[in-house]
Amino acid sequence: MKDLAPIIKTLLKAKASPLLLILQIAITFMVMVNAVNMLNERSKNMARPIGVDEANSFYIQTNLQGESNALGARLDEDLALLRALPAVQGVTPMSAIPLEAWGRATLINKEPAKVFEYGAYFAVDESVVEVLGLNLIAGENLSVEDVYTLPMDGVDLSTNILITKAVAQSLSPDDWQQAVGMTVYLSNDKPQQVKGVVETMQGPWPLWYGVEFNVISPLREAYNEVRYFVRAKPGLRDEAMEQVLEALLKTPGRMIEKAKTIETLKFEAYQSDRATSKLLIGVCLGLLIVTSLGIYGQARFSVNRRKRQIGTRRALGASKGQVMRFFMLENAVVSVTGLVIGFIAALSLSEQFVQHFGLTPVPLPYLLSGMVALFVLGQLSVSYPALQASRVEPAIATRSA
Amino acid sequence: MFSYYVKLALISFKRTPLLSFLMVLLIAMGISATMTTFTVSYMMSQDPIPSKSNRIYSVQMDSRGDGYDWGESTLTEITYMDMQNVINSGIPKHRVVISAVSTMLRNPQQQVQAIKSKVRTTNADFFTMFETPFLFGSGWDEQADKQAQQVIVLTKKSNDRFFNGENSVGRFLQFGEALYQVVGVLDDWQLMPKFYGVKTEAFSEPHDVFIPFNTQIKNELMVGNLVNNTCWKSYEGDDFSAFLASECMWVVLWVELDNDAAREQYQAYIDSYAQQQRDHGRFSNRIYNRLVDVKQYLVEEEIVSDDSKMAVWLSVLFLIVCLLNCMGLMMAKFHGKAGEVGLRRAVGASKQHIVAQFSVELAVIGFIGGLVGLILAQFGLAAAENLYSYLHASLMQMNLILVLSTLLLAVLVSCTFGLLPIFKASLTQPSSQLKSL
Repeated sequence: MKDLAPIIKTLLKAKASPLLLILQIAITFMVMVNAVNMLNERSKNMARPIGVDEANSFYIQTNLQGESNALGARLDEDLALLRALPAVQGVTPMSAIPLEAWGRATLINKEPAKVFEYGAYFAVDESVVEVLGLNLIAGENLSVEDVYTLPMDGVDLSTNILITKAVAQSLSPDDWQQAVGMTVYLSNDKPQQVKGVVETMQGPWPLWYGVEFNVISPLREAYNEVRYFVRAKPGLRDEAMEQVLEALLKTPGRMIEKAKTIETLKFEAYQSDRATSKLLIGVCLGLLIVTSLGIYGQARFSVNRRKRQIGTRRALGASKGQVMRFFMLENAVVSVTGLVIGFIAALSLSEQFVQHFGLTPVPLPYLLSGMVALFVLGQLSVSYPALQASRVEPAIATRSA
Repeated sequence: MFSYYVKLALISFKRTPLLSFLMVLLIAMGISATMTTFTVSYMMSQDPIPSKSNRIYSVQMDSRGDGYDWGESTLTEITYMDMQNVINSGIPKHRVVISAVSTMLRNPQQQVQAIKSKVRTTNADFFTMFETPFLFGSGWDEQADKQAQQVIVLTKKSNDRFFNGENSVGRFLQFGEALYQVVGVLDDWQLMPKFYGVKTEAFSEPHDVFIPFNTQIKNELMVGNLVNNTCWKSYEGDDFSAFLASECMWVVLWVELDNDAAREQYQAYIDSYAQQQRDHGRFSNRIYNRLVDVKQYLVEEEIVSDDSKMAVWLSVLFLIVCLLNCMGLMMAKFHGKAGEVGLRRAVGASKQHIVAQFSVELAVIGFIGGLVGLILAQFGLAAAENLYSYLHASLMQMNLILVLSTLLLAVLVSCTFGLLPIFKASLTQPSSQLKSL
């Protein structure tokens, strides 16, 4: 440690080159911890459960044909047809599909005509909990008696509804279970009775803050256009999809608008997030490579310049280890300075991101582990030039230039 | 003198090839990362229709009467009846109605499967207001709008698909169960961003075909999930006419207004219309009508994603790290040339000469770095095209301005970051160096 004073003295004297390294390390650290934080936030988003049986489910968007008063009967025929297929476990009509990026937003209010909360609206039949694989955690499930079949928008009708736990918590913050039995008002101010609460079901828009705020209403909306959410028997998803398409296409005039697995839907829903993640990883890798090259180059340069000094020290009795330690310590001083500046910079950048892009602030453990990681990287980068320095022969001091 | 300095710079490269190579590489890496992300962001935020973007307005009329306080927010869609009531005003030069449906299309003369296609429903003014180029034929005329004729305009791609790229004007296309006559085929045409439709499709290709909006209405083609539809008030009846008469807001209206006077006149016109409607019990929330021009519309609807802006900032920081690194190398390089500087100073070169010589050397390095950076950026853009496969490929192409600014940026930043090393080198005392020679 007695080397510390001369090291600091030399660094202060050299000014420019150590300062450059310090800045590099500071910026690299600042960008890296923020990028890792963003990456983590994105992967957390992508890992959130949709609430449905992702592996075995798919959906079909197709048409019902005929006069509007006959569409209910067409819907029954389709459902009976699909439910009888060997690979199909269950089917429900659905007005929108989680993560599909298309659906109906609704207000969720405790009293009429006051904006309280936004969410998404799903019109389904009584089998929704079993078919989607939702987890009913309070109240009762929907029953056949709750279900209406109408060619209209469900928010125009008073029904018994299911809500997600997130909605329950917002309606009754002290004890979410109290939300069961409450009367709530959706967009058109028709009173709705909360019959049960499901743990999670994501809404149509994955990047929306209200993704967990969903209302499930027992209404089979018999329009020309319908969506069937199909859950296959475990492991038979692809077979079920084939059987469903074949069965539906037997009806003349049938159009299959969409047929997609929930896995594909999820993959597509997050494609921009994946692209950004890859970009972030690329920038981080680039920064790490450039910075460690910088540290390495700077150390080599300074070793070459100080060959005679090193030789003299060796001749005066310094061991190889002491010489090596000198360079390692020098790098440590530079790194620590850079990391301290970087720490402050990282916090303020994080603050900016929180303000402008609505990200969460970088947690402290990230900052600390980032510091350790960059410190180790610095020591590794300097180790080879330091080793070379230790190999400088004492005799070099005696040779005149 | 300049050419002499360039010659000296080249000699200096030969003497320290590794150092010079590293400097070029660092500049190239930083520049290419910055220009790759900047290109995507720049192309996203460019003006889609520079000749008239300040004259085309989105007409937004808040006809809601649900009793809520909606603050600043309006919808970009209006009701069908409001559109019908204001569309015939002579104040705007052009009035364009926008909606969309989807259908199955096929060439009736071929024994092939029909293809699911996106259909833009609009009116004759669409082709004149957006100045769309035609490969064959033209858009339909106002007569076709009035009579709701079954006419259709194809994009070049659709024409290639259904008619093998032949001149299909006058031929028929099977549209669901009906037949539509082709009146025109567009040449390659893409507004970027494609602002007139829904926001999520701003960076995708135009819809496959175009038909008159009135034909959509006459044939009762329901809008599917290709448009936003806000029904704040329930309506009686379940047939198409009930939907048209409802308060559902689903029609997009764009107008072209020649000057500020026309804009004010039109604003007054829609305001007085809204007041009239209010007297009849509609528009009961408030009278809040807005004319939003294209540039403001792009900002309000947040067409350029935060992600792409953030990517630019990250790569600028990356460039700075590369340059700091490069600056360290410059110091090393000029330090090694102290002897040369001392000699030149001793034989009469002034400090300014030394500064000029090294500036040229760095500019040359910066220029080469910029060239290599351009090449790397093409790879970067190819990677970006792969990464952002869901966006339109034309976003990942540099134009001439971007190419030139890349080179300029490279030279500029290398000289800026070279100021300190050059200054230090110029301070070299002639005597100190000559002694050891």
